[in-house]
Amino acid sequence: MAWEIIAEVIVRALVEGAAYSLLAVGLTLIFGAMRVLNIAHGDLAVLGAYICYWLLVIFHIDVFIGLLFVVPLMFLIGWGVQKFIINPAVSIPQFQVQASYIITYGLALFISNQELIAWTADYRSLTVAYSYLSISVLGVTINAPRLAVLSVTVIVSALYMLFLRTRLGRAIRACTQDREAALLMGINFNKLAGFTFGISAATAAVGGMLFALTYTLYPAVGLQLTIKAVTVMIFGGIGSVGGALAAGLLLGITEALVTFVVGATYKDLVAFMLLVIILLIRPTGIVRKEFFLPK
Amino acid sequence: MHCVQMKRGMWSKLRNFKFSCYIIAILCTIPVPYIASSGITAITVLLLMYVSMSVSYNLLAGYLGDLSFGHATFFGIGAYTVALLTHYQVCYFQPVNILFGGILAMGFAAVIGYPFLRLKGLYFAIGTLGLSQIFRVLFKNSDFTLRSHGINIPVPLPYSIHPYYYAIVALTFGIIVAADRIVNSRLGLAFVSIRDDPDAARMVGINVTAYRILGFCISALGVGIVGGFFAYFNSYVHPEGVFSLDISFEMLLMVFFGGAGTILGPIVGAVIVLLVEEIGRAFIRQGYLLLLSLMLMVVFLVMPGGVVGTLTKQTPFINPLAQLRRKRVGSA
Repeated sequence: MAWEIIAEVIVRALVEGAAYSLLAVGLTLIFGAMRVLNIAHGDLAVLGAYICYWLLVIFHIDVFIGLLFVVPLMFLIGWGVQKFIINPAVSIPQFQVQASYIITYGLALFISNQELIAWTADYRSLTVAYSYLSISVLGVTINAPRLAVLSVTVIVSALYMLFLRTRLGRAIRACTQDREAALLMGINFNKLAGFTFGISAATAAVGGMLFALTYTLYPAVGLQLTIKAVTVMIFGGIGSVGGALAAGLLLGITEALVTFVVGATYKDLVAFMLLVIILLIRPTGIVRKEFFLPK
Repeated sequence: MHCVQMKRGMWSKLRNFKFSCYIIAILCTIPVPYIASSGITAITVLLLMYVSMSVSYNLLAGYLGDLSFGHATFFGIGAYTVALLTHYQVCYFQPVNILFGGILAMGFAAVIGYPFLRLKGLYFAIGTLGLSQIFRVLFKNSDFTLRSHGINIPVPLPYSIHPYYYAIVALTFGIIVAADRIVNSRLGLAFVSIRDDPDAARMVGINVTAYRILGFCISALGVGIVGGFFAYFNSYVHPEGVFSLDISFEMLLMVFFGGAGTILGPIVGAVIVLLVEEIGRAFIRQGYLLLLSLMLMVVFLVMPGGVVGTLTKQTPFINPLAQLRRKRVGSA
């Protein structure tokens, strides 16, 4: 009996961690390649989820099929945001990180307020036909959307890892490790940055949709998601995609276990305590290699 | 001798100019509650609160170059100190409570300063953000702070906004004058040299860590005092309100929007940001920050050094010389 409860807790934890992982991966990719902290990341995720919501409610398109439309759209939005807003603002290398805080916070405000106007502040959830279906395996009951979330996360992470092995992915990793050397090797940074931002926004939208499938969606949740993603990013080591994936799952499991043992009130505390402790004792996160020394 | 005298003459002229600016500003602020409606006066109080907070925050972010995303921690400590002292009937004398709140915030900054200021850049910013969130959750779940009920602070009757208004006017002027004195002293020079080049600062004998902790403490003191005032003005504190991210980010926004590393910058930034916020609130009801966010992005793209910074060409963060120096050092 106890075994099954623990197993269920862990499955739920993995689902929650999966959304964090997907959010953090995009954030860490951008910060790695471009030295831009995208505070609007969570809001972009929520925007993607809201578009899925519209597709579901107005056109009755299933959320996972809707992703086929939302992912390219968010890619374009991310690309445009990078080209027309972020890139002009962070063109001064010395001022880059500070400038990115302000411009992306402005963007976050813009997106969340536009969401308030378009979708109001009501709590919404993506309720699909199979929302209340559940599957039992060895006495462990799993909700069907949660299973879908897990499988989508696995697919997206695998695609990500494959993508990082391609020519473009190699270019992004090269910029993460040493931007000036990468530029000297003939990498067109502006093109690369647009593409990175697009991919990051697209994965954020997937993460946001998965989050909305299991939790509630409202415009103000964007900043909370950003903070969770930043926590995971630092936990996993800034710039490391694999680290972010692992750290998201670890954070999900820790939170779920604390919720199970202590209670849900201290759930948020766990993430932030973890964040502060990691920063104080091991700022490079769980990865072996130091991608960034604190500057 | 002649040269020295000329310099002294210029200095006294400048001081006279500054002094007359203060006098004019004080004269302008004194009649406000008698002329304007109570609503406008309340907004002015809020405005002055934000001015003094961002001026304090600017000492850390603008002059020392350490951006914090969690200054709401100190705001909340100040507010909760006042609320708890009143709630547990320890002391009812407002100025003492407010000052105590500020000192407690400063003490806390001193305690966490050493471990936190070993972090730099993004790590420091995120660390302080985590800290403010830890406080929010703890205060929301602790019986001592009445959990998420928040704490009510009884308002002395008959209610009048005048004492609050004049208190915040005095507080704001105090903080601006203090910040100006600090910036134009040895301490301010040390801050600026640490911001521009920490290694060079260490070479000339500045204890970088000690000065960074000191800057952190001073800015925490200012923000904490304003937090204490806020508790009285709002007559209610709630963990979600006083430890909220919005307060931290708003300070950051005002400082960088007006011009980080200038005295006038955060003042102008706070005025513009709050004004646009209120205009947005009047015309767009839901999503009223839309206007602010649009203006923020457009203005920041045109003037990356902030409004005051770009107009007076004081843009320490994007100083081409510092950039050049950093590059040369980096490539060696």
